[in-house]
Amino acid sequence: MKIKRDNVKRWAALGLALATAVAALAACGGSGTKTADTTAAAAAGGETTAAAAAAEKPTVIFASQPENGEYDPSGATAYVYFDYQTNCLEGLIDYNEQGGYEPAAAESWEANDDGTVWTFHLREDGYWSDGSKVTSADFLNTIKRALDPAKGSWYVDGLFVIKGTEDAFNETASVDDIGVECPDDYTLVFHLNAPCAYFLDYLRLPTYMPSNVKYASNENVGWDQDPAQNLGNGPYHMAAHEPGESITYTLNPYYRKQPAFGTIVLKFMADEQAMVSAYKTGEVDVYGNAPYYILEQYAGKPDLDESPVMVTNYVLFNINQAPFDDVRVREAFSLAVSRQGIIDVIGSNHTTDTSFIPATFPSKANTGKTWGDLAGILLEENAAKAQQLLADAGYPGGAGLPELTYTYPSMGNEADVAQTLQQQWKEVLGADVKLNAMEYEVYVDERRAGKLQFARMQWTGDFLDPATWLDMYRTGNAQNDVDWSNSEYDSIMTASMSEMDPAKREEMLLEAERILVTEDHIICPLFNSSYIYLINPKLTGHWNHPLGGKIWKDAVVVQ
Amino acid sequence: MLRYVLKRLGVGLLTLLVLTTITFFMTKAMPGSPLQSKNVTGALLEKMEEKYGLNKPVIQQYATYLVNILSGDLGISYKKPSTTVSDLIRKTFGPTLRLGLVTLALTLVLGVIAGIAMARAKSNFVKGLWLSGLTLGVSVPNFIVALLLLVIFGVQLRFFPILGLSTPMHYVLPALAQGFYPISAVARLTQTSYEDVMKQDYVTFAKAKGIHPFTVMIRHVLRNALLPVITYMGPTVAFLLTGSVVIENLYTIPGMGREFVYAISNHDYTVVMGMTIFMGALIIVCTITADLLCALVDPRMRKTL
Repeated sequence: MKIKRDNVKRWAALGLALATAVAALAACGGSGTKTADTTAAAAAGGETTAAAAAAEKPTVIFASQPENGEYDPSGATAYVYFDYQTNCLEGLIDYNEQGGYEPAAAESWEANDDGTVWTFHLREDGYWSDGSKVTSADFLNTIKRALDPAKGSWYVDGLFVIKGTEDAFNETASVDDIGVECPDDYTLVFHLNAPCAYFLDYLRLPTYMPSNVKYASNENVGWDQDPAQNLGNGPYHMAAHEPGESITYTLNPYYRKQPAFGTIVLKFMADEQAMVSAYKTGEVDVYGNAPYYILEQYAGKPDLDESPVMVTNYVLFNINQAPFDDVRVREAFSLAVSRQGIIDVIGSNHTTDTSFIPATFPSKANTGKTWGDLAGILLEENAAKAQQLLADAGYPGGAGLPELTYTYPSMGNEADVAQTLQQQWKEVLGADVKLNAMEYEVYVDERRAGKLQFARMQWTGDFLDPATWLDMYRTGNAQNDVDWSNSEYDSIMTASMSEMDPAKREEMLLEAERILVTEDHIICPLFNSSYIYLINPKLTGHWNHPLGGKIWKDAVVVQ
Repeated sequence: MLRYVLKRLGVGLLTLLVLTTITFFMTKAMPGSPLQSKNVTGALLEKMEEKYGLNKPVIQQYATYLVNILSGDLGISYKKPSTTVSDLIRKTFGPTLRLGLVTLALTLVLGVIAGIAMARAKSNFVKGLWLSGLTLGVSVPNFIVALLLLVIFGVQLRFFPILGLSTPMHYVLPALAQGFYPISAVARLTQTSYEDVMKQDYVTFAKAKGIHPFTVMIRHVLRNALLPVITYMGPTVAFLLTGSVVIENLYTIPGMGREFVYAISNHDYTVVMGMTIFMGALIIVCTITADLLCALVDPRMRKTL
């Protein structure tokens, strides 16, 4: 281990010497091009110069949750994967801080009139970290591999808007017949089953990322764990990977805009106390997703930062189990909730929300407005009305209610939320609710099977469109755990998919949400959350990704 | 002697088989599927279960598993699909072993020295001081010790680093935290048996012969006084080498204790079973070795074997 590191240093030193020599020669030649700092120098000096550049630039160490799953965009991606994707992979397009689309691996794109054919023109100066060019085949590679059912891709259903993909996944058609075309190295064409107004938002999913055709194949098991084979086309690439211990990214020398950090190290840590302590001792520079008590400990200090997440926490009522088969009972339980009462318990990094789409969601049709502005308050706390509704349903003052069990996964602040709800339902409705904490995976299993009477639910948007939330409760959707079916809701959702006018579409989605939340009362939205960050105050210039989390490629170190 | 060793090994193997069987059926009885997660849909879940053979009858799965173990194949992790269980054990056992050995050395050296010092202490006050220190050592749980050491010597005083095991300095705090209990236990054992042996006639005789007190201590007293310590060290070595989840979590050591608990909460059946078998085997080997060492030190026991 030691020897290896020394070797790296020696090579870096050698590379540095080479780079200086190259620079000196260039100066002698008087060519006058001052762009020798980034891509040009890297192309001339090769890997060693790149290592030198990375070694010269600061290393930043992050405390990360333990890794889980693969680093293959076609595979079982999990928590750390998204950090890897943000740093090491570049999709066709990217979100900016406001949630708008920015060209990334694609320079430009266009759709046909009805939104069924989408053509992307890749930039010709897109490079993998080994210097080879990024081509349309690399994008097709990920898609085809994800459609192999044995691969176990977590985001394969994000591909099903493309012609032939669902059949290929179910092995009733060939994967070679799917609606993705590569007319040349720099053109990628998608043929969709039906118009899709939010197709661009899908492009953020792992299954739309490129994976290098040279190494990434489903036969070559483990390529994603091996830094020699796992190439990046983003600002960084995987330079070292110690499973369970750490992962290291260094600069992709061929990337067009070189970030300020030379090396990023993620240390996999499991213990909150360990992470806070390591931040205090300076052994890590950044601790994301910190517990809420950090807000008090670091109040007023420059280390503290927050990044809002596109997540909604809500109560899901099982409409197939008494007493929640009665819409009046569902409404009564929804109106009895005091959201502020919950926030008072769980901390100020949460904000109350009464809509299914997070209140902070940036509107696509009304720039500058949020979903909260458009939807307004959908559920207003109203004890008198709640009591009346419960009495109308035949349970005056909570008398005669069947046994009630609220289930939540035993993690984070869920117990605090559950106990607060229990107390509120008791006070307002006179209902005695039993709490049932379950291990996370058991809870998911039971919820999926429709066994839970009413339960905590949480949904983090996979991409920046209301459909990532609202699609869940369409008839027959795999995530529709309570088998709710409303034909009006379904038809609005279907129509909204092909509505290419953002303003009209937003109206439709607001209406669908209204049916779900205030008409049929399937869910009771509670609150949104932010990630709490501890960041070394010397690191500045980072910004919040619209879906949550920090983007580091534009960050700098100030002394 | 050979018969004894063979007999112990045979019983050990049988124990392993029972252990494997119980673990296998207990993991199967756990609610929740290892493949269940937020984004995996029904159809995909079925395909995955088919791939891992989870849709077959439990007895058939058990038979397949036993056959695979005999050929040294512990299967692959459900949660880290490109990692085999054997690789994971090899990978995580390294840090645990290194920390375990350091703790072991610390335990023997500090424990025995403290035990002798206590036994030889003349004043009752000093003895009482030692005793209260050691009682604290065996009664304070290691997560408190680990946390106190981390906060005082890591965060406040900054004497030692607290993240990982990359330099010798990194070993100090976790080894002390892990060794706190065994050091105290060894010291107590050494003290008691040292005092017993000191009262024996052969020690008085050796002293009367004019043998140097140091030689008496090493050859006549310690050799006999350490017998209970060796017996105690058998399971302790096993305990240290299987890793402590508390310490590995707090000091971010990518060891086996941490991985094991992580695998349980993740429903990573194959990893749970593979590690249980590995740890079971380790405990059996350590206990047998301790017994054999005892026999080497004590001629009386050698005869009875």
